[in-house]
Amino acid sequence: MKVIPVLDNGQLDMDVYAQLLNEKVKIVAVNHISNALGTINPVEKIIGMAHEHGIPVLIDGAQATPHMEVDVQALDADFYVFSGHKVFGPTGIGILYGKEKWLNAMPPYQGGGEMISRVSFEKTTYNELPFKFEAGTPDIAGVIGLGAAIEYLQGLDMEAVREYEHQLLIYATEQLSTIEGIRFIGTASEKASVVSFLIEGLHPYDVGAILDKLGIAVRTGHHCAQPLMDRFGIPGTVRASMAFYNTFEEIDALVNGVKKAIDLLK
Amino acid sequence: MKPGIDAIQDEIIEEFSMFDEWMEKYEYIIDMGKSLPAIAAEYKDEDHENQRLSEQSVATCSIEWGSGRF
Repeated sequence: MKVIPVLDNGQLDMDVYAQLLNEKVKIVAVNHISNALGTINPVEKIIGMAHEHGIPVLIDGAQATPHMEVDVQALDADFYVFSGHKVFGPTGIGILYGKEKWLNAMPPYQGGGEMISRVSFEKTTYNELPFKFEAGTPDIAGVIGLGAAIEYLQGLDMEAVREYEHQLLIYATEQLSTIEGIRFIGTASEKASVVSFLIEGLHPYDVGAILDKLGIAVRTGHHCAQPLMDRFGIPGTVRASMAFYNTFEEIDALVNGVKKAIDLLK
Repeated sequence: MKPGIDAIQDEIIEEFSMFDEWMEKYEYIIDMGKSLPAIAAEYKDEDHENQRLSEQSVATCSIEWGSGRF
């Protein structure tokens, strides 16, 4: 496995990416938006460059789908995945989009009801797509819940959502910048509404614990991205991620909360 | 004779009952922590790291009076 390096500002090193592409590469897998840093990766360019070498691309869109309109066909993504709970739907369910030619070429990964068309001792014929990959009794309740969540999102003006969240990001970055000893991890020019930071001399868990007591929900730790934390030489970050339901007043509360945490812990 | 765990717990509960606000309790315990001597340098290694908290947090334990002390 080869890894696309990350620059100091959290952007992918596209020069190295270009050098990594060769006939040995079977697939490129990259996230649309970094959950830990908020970087919006140039996936259209990434896909185009991979396709020049005939390499399929899988995009993890878990962080993108609730924040922007995604058109898998315009992106020309071979695979695009996201999870239900990140689009305000049920947990334990998600979406795998794949181009028909790849899905037809792939064998089923699970056996069970509905995924076969005809079985004999001599030969097994699998069912057509998508049933080939949906063995057994499906998660019916989850599917209905996820469908409702996606319909809800589709009823929103996603361009307006993106613009509002961008304003939240600018405001949060400006206001948090006034705090002495703050260090932002992830300062890419193209960012989603995620602010990941550290306070000098304080462990992110301690800051998060105080914010939690103040009723402010942030995520602390390595964000399931330990290699990325190693890249920056840090144990983890405090991460505030904002969505269209958040307000500017809540950002003020976050900033005041961080200041209180510093007073308490230093 | 060493006091039992119930007596120690009661003592801690009584000590903290003088505070009304959670923040005062936190301040008190953080101040107590600051007054403790720093952990010996010999324990600041990978073997004593809290794997969830990584290298910024180390711990060691010992047995005294039949109890584990961290």
